Amino acid sequence: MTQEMIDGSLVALPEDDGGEARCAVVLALDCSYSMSGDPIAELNAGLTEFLSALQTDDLAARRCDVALVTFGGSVKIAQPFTLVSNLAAMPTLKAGGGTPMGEAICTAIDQITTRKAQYRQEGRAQYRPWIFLLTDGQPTDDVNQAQVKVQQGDANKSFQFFAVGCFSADMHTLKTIAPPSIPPVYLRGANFRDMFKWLSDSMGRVASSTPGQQVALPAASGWAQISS
Amino acid sequence: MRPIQKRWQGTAVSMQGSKHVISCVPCQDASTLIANRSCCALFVADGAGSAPNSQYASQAAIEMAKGYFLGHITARRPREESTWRSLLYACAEKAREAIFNLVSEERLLQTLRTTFLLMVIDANGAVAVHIGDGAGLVIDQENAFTLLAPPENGEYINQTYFLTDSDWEEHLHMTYQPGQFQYGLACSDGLQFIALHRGLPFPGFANGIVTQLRDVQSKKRHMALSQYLGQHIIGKRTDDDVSLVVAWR
Repeated sequence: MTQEMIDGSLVALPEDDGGEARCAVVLALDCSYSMSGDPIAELNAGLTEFLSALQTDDLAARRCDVALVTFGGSVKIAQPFTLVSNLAAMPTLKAGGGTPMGEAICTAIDQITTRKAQYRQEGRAQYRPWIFLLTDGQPTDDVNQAQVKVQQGDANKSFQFFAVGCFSADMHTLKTIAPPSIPPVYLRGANFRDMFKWLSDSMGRVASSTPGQQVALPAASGWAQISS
Repeated sequence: MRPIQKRWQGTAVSMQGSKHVISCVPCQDASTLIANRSCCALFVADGAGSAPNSQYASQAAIEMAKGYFLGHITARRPREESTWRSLLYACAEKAREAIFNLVSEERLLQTLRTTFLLMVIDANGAVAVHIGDGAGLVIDQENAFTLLAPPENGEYINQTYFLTDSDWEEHLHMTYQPGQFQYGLACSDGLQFIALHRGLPFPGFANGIVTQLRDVQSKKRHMALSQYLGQHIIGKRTDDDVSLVVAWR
């Protein structure tokens, strides 16, 4: 008997998990006391829009694996790594305490390192992970170890590190931490929403990139200015 | 075990991905199949998304390799592993040369990057030459799958290796697997996560395609496979260009 078409229902496909590939993203967010009031409310609103934007991008939703590390008094993993398509909502962050930024950066790097090893163990392909740091003040702990780890991670292409300062952020310290290839940027006002829109657009571009493709990130000019 | 002696047959399809449809970029994949009584040869090349002339590179590589293969396979049919290896290496070299011949002031080498996969199956075994991502599988009479040509990415999925790289020979992999194979499948990275699952062959896909294509008239196979990919894969499982070459006997 001959047929003219392939019946798709008779062709098995692997579990649809976004082509297996994962793009790990850690948001390291300053929740110190100085973020109290409107800033933390804006940050929470921005996070909600970030999640919503990623969830409307099919590939990004199935590939982006997001974790939240917060630093306000102590360092917490407010959201362990979760695939965006499985993430119902972002946690509501509260502000308080000091700014242990060095420890938060090291925690974010440790999270990335562990997650990458897990992907490898599962036989999953992966994109270069991102660490996205947002801070509004001066670190209250030692950042030397974080500086070394970020520089090493950048040199080894272990992750991409983006640093954003806002309000009274210590841009000089951020500059010493961030890799020279990606200098820190200063957030205009409390424009968290545009910043997260940029981040979700960027993640979408990365998650759909193909081998050999150099991903051109969208311009950050609407919300950021390069610190001098 | 009854030896398999039927003529090889099959089809090859390369299709533009949904991302390229939207951005009006042509399909950067190229593929073809040679199938005769003694062997089949499955060719796939995937032009790099970042290289604006990569569709010319993938096409030139496939055309040159196919021509060279045909010229040498008909003159003297090789059978030994060493002979196969020599021929397939020469095909990759010729494909690389063909890309270099495209270079001009307007068309720089870095705009002409492509992966390359050539897999041949004959009565005694299967051999592959491969650089970059994409995959080649062979399946024996017991329906056991062998991943003859696994994808090679860098640490990250959006990194791979190309035929025109200066260190191309370091990433050019040749593999030979003796045995009697009933069919083979080669694909570009657009289908890599469907033909493979977590790095291992996913039998349901290959079996489902080949079992049905066998029952399609030879002149309608290309259309049937194109329709399937267009309806069930492109835009649903991937937005990348896809190439799929299948051969059986």
